[in-house]
Amino acid sequence: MRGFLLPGLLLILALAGCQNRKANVTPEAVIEVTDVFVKAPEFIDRLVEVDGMVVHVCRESGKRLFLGDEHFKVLASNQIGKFDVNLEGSDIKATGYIREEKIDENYLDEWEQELSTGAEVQLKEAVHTHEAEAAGQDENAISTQLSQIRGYREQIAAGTQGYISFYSLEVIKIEEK
Amino acid sequence: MKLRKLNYILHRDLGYLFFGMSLIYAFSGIALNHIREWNPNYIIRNYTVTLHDTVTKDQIDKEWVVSMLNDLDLKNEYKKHYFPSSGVLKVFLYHGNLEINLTTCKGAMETIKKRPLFYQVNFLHYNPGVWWKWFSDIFCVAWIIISISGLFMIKSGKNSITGWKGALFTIAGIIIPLILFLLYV
Repeated sequence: MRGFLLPGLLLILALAGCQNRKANVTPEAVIEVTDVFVKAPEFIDRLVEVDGMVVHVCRESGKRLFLGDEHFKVLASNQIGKFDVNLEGSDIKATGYIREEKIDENYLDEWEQELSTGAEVQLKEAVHTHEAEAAGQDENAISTQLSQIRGYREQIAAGTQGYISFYSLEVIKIEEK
Repeated sequence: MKLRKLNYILHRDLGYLFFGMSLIYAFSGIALNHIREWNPNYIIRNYTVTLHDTVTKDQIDKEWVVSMLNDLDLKNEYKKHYFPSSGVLKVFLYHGNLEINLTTCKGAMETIKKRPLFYQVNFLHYNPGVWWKWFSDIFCVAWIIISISGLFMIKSGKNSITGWKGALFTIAGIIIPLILFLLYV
């Protein structure tokens, strides 16, 4: 058994090193980032390609990047664990699954409740839009988050569905143009 | 094969095999443990920039931007530029970015470089793929074996697991994290 241990582990390591970032999948549609928020509702949980320029890569975790002036969020996955900050300024084709997070009054109430304890609360992924950071604010600051909550309540009140949707792409493949 | 001999062989061979992985996770663990104090992946520096002359969006093209970067000693750094709004110029560099308010002529530049060693070990720690995830699971199982087998390396005497020193260190190594857990939970 010992004789197989090392070769077996080396084989796994070699496979790990050779693991192809370019998964062999075909998206159902190709969407320009300028159209993504219009078309996203049609493709929830479905595989699409979104094309656009990377305007920001999260410095701390490297697990999210944003495309275009729309700041459409692309999230890392099991296939692509992290984004290189050098992607900023690059035009990419990002293939992945469109995800929707619905934020309603209950969600906002729970969020506000967490903030009211005074404990440090990290900005929730569902509503992490890079808006605050782009404006030079501390996105995790309680005041920033409370301001966001107020804004979302106004949006929900102005709509008819009782919630607002946040769309993102859980990426499985990235190709630079 | 005798159990003691098997214990010794497992401890030795797995220890050799996973020496590299141990260092990767140890360095990465230290880096990520202090994530609030520093950015473990990048060395980021911020500078202020001032344009000498006012300029409008219509006057700016790639040549103009490259010339400006040359003045800033950033030759060959130009990657792309665009206008997030009509009064703001954003320039992507190969190692950073620059954003200038065309009205005030003032801007901010951020240079970004990968932190040597830490960027690479953190990349691996974050599980770059499915196969790596399985390999690191095997590493964790191996570490359980290394830890347990380590308890029985010394056969007898004060330094063995049944000796006062071995038993004391082992119990302390369990109690300390328990106490810390109870303090922070």
